[in-house]
Amino acid sequence: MSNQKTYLGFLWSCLRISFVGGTRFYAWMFLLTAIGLVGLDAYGTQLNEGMVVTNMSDRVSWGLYIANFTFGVGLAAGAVLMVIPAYLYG
Amino acid sequence: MSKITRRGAMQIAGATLGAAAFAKAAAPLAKFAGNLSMDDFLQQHYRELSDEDMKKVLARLTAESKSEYGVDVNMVDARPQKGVQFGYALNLSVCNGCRKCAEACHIENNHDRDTNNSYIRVLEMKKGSLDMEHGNAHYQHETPQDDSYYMPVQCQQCDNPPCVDVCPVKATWKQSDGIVVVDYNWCIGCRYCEAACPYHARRFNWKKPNVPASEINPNQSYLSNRIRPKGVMEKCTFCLHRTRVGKLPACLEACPTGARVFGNLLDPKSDIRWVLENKRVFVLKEELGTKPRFFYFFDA
Repeated sequence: MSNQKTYLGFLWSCLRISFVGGTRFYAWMFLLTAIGLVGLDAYGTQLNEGMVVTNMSDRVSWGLYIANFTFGVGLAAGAVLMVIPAYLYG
Repeated sequence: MSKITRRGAMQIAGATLGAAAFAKAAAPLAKFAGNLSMDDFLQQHYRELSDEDMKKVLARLTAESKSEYGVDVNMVDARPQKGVQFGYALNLSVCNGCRKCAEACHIENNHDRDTNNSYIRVLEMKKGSLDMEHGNAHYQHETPQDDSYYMPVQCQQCDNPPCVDVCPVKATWKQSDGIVVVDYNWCIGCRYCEAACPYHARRFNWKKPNVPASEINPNQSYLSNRIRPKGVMEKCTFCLHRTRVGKLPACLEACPTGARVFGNLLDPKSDIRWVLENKRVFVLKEELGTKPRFFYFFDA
């Protein structure tokens, strides 16, 4: 029971800390959130109107989307390999 | 009442602005959520539907078709017949590139009018070469041209279909009479089958199809020509809503030169068997091992 309280307390502290910062921090977070909201709107438009908004066609049906997925997977695998020695060996 | 500091007021204003921006950004998502149907979400795969489930699904789809397109349709579930294996053959010596087959397919299968979609692509090929990659599917001149021959390509209903192998959700499969079908309500629209098909036979519904109510073909079947939702794959089904009740595909009936031959490969008296036994038929991209059911031949 006390573990649960401590964990919830921990989460609440995390939330509180993420609002602590100077002007530059707030400006940066504002910019990132704005970009994120634009992306959310674009995703909603794509859901509503169909994939035609991406301007892809039957000839190039995977385009940048799937190409980016595979690129991201490779990049992530490489990043994991780079970071593992630091974690394992301090 | 405690005093609200300037800092507090700025925070409240900022939070309100943020909430408003978030609400505006999420508005399309709310619109999407409003259009979802629980029955549609919970529907099982076609192969797991019992007869009563199928009746309910057809009733729901008929009602949706009425509300979205304003047309009463007759939707059935056309099952394969026993003892039937469909095959299709095409005489390349008489095809003149008129594209009437593509147009008939467009009308019969309730395709999207804005993109002029069709399951059939007619390739204009240079005489002397069978290279599909150099065929031109977008010609816009008078046909037939003297230096070319014309090769319509549609789904070959392969016996070893690459599109069925790659589907991550098993939304497409080969039925017992040879036709490879798609369960549109199960398809997730990843377009892997479109990438896998060597004949470029698959089409994707990039948006909700726009078909005027007066042009909708009301004789529809669950697996073939009902109006597809946006975001699913579709392809030629050999007009199974026609051929499984004894009629011929729309492309064959529209062909003015009589180049197309369709029938039951297991019937020794059918036209398609005669063509296979008496003409030098070949298939496209044989080296890929897809074993198509669509045969081409030249007259002597």
